[in-house]
Amino acid sequence: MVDATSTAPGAALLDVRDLGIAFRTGAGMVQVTRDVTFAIQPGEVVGLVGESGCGKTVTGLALMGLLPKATSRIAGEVLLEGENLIGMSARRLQQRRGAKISMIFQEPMSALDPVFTIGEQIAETLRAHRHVSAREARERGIEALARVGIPEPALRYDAYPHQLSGGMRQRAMIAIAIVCEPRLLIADEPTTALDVTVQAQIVDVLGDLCSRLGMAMLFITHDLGLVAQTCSRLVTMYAGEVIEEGCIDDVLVRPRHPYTSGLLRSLPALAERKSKLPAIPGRVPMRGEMPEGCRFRPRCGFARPPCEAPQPLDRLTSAGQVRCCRHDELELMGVLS
Amino acid sequence: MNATVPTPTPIVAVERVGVHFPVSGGRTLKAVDGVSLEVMPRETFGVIGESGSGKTTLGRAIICLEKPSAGRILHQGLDPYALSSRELRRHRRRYQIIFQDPNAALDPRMTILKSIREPMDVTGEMPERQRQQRALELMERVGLSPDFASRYPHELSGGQKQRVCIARVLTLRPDLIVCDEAVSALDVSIQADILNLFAELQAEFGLTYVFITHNLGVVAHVSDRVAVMYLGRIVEIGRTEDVVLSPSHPYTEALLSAEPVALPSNLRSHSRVMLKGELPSHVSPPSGCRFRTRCRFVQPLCGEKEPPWRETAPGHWSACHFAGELPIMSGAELHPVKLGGHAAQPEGRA
Amino acid sequence: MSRRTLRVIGWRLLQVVPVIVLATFAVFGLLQLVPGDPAAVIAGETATAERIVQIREMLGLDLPLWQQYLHWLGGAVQGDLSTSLITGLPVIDEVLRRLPNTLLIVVCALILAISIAVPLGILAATHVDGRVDRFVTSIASLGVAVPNFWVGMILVGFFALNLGWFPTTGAASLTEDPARALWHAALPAIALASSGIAEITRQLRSALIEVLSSQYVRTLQAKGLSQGRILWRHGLKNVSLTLLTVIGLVFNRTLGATVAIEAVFAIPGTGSLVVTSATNKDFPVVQGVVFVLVLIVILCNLLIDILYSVLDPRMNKQ
Repeated sequence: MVDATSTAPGAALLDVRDLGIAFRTGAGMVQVTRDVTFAIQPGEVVGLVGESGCGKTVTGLALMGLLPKATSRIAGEVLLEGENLIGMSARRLQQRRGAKISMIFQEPMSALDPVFTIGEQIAETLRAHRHVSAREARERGIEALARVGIPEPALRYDAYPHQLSGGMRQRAMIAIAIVCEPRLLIADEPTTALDVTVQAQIVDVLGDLCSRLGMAMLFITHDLGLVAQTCSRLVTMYAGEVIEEGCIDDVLVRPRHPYTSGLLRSLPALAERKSKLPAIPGRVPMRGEMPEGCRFRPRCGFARPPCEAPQPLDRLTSAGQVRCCRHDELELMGVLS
Repeated sequence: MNATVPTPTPIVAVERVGVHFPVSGGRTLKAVDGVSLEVMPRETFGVIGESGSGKTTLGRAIICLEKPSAGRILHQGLDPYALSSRELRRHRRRYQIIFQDPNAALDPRMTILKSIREPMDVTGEMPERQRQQRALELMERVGLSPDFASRYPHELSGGQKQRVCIARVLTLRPDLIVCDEAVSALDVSIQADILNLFAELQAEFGLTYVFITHNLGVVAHVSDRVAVMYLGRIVEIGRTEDVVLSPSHPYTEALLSAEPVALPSNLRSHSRVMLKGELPSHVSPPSGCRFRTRCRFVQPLCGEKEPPWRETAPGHWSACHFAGELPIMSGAELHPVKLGGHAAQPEGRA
Repeated sequence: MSRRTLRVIGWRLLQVVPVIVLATFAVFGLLQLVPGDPAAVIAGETATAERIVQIREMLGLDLPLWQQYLHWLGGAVQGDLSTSLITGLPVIDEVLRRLPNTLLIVVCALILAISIAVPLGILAATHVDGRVDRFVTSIASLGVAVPNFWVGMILVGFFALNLGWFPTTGAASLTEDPARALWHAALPAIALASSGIAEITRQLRSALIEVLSSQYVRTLQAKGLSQGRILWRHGLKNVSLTLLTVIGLVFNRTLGATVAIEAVFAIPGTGSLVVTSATNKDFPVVQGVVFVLVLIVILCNLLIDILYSVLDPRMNKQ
């Protein structure tokens, strides 16, 4: 196990240590993630990638304390500015959410309350955390809408969600999340439901907000291209575990885990036509039928007997982490051949 | 316009096709408005566009799921709507479609084998034993182990279900398959597998594909030629390399620029074209060039006249008044490093 | 009120006309299928055949069905619901005399149902699968299954006959003696409310559970709102539409259930009027009562539609 405190104690904005999430199901407790360890520095944009079912969204919700208490069990620590959010009282957690740590979701339509105006939804966030008058709340709400690039913000402030396009709704969603200027924004696939040109606009807005507000962001996505474009660091998850973490430019060129390498290589790239794409054989194991040892082993072309033992998350000299016992000997390919 | 060299009869010729839907207030929504294109046998023809571009409606019109309100569709020179309804039913088998969501195409109470056999059972042309045989063969061909035969759709992953849909469509020995966002819902590693499968099947069965997607990477990878759609119209059409590497329509440029590319920052282009504003209404599209409201090169002429087709390179057409004259960024400028072909990775190089 | 709302009202009012015509015509037609001849009933057992024919002609019963109907409809539009075959008095007077008694128990039942069911539904939805929820849902299932009149009979047996707290039968005028009127209305209203409570509780519970597990509630949690605020502000406004629909439905059903309840409690309302006049083949009265009840139901639904367009911004979508 890696010593997470080695990343300059106290300096990290968010320090996630050995986060393990289990859900209560009809068949008993099912472990969904385990040993999730990573840190986010103030103002840093970190990408969290992986295929569906690898536990990225659940991790995001756990950081926010949004998993249902009755049906989930959370182990480990989530330190936000040194305070552990796991096990924090509901009331204190509430004061952090929306003020210090915010989250935006994939579906901008269903993520906004349909019977309240955009303005009401922004203002109530503001008034939940700050002592402001109704008039001041309106002013700051309109300001937030302008900040996320909504044209005629004063007009849109009184609009209902259904009166806005998908892209505008996602902007409104972002405005709600940032109106209290949180230190960390968790963005869970914020552009997956949007068109590519709208996606470009939204990603632009997010990047701009991070640099202007000095806000850190955890960008959860399955799109490695988006991560390359927006993030400075990348955390890869597979089957509920963090399997690699590192500086984005390093990982793209020289991934250290065979799964990350496989993901990068299976992208159909722009100028390369008709060649056979190197796919990863098999599928992500189902919860409850995880292989022993390295979880990627059944799909890995590099598997050897040592891979049958549980794999620790090793710290790399290049300020990254990898969960593969062969990472020193393998020369894996990235996006450049 | 005619974007293709006159070689054999096109497997599909779309001639000034419009698909219109009535909307409230007695107005008409022209989902597809005056689109022409030809798809050649054994070709993969890509259609790319964002939501509201009309690409899905066009795909449905191509295989007679949507009757054109204007213009006509010819299948190998033949107008399917001139056929009797019985002949049309037989004819339709050769023009198939695969959707994004395999769940919508599979009956949850039907076993996998039964699902694959069903189209053959409906037509009832082959004896029972042969149908069973063919279904099993195709199952194996699309990469499903025979154990799956007696399973139900909910026991399969998304990628496996999409394989079932592919096998099912193949039972009818189609000439052309419209793939409507067929790999969009899949994870990249699975998507790569399915794209490989499509390529193999094309070589093996001599298939023609119309590949409809919003994913530029996918369309660029699989297509021989590509059409870019915007607000019900084709704005650019040509060989994939030409369109991707030297786009001549400002919308294509914006689309290419918006595509996020997994490259390290020192290799990525930092000059981006950001599209402004929102998609205009279909019911009352802008006059003249439909893209003019969001175009960075807009001129007075663009609002006055509909742009004619201009050929900027052999077989590369663009519906822009100024095609070929604009300082549009090339694919190389937008994405400077061509991603080299990934050589097959040696197994376990230690 | 917005122009949009006014348009909704106008449009709905237009739609009401064919509904009234269809409903009344259907009742008119059905009554013809009932065996027995009103003329024979009126004439008495000893009457001659000529006398019966004479009465038929006098009442217009010899005319074709559609002519009879049009004649009736023409009168109804002007507020004349014809006269009773038995008493010869105007139907409208009789209906209006009895209607307050019925409306009193229906309205009391509805108020009772809402004020009990709404807290119960909220309680159940906020404690899903807990003991409270299981208790509430099983009570609600029971309430839906048990018929109103049976509840009525039990209530009469226990509270009226055994304990003597409430009168067993009858009604009093609300304007003349409100306290007595309410005292009389209590048991019938409770009996009528029983199924309404069950229905509203169940529907509210499931609607609220759906809202509370929706994605936008997750957003509300993510922005740091308290559970209380999420429930009272966002939860209730979102379920209000479902609630409105269910209340409308329960109102219609409760109105229908008065037929049996008024019989149990011997209340001189419209329900018992329908029963007696149907037995006596006094068709104009039956027809008149149905007409008035249909009007009330339609007005109630209209009111709900208007509230809908006020509450749900999505209805204003152009």
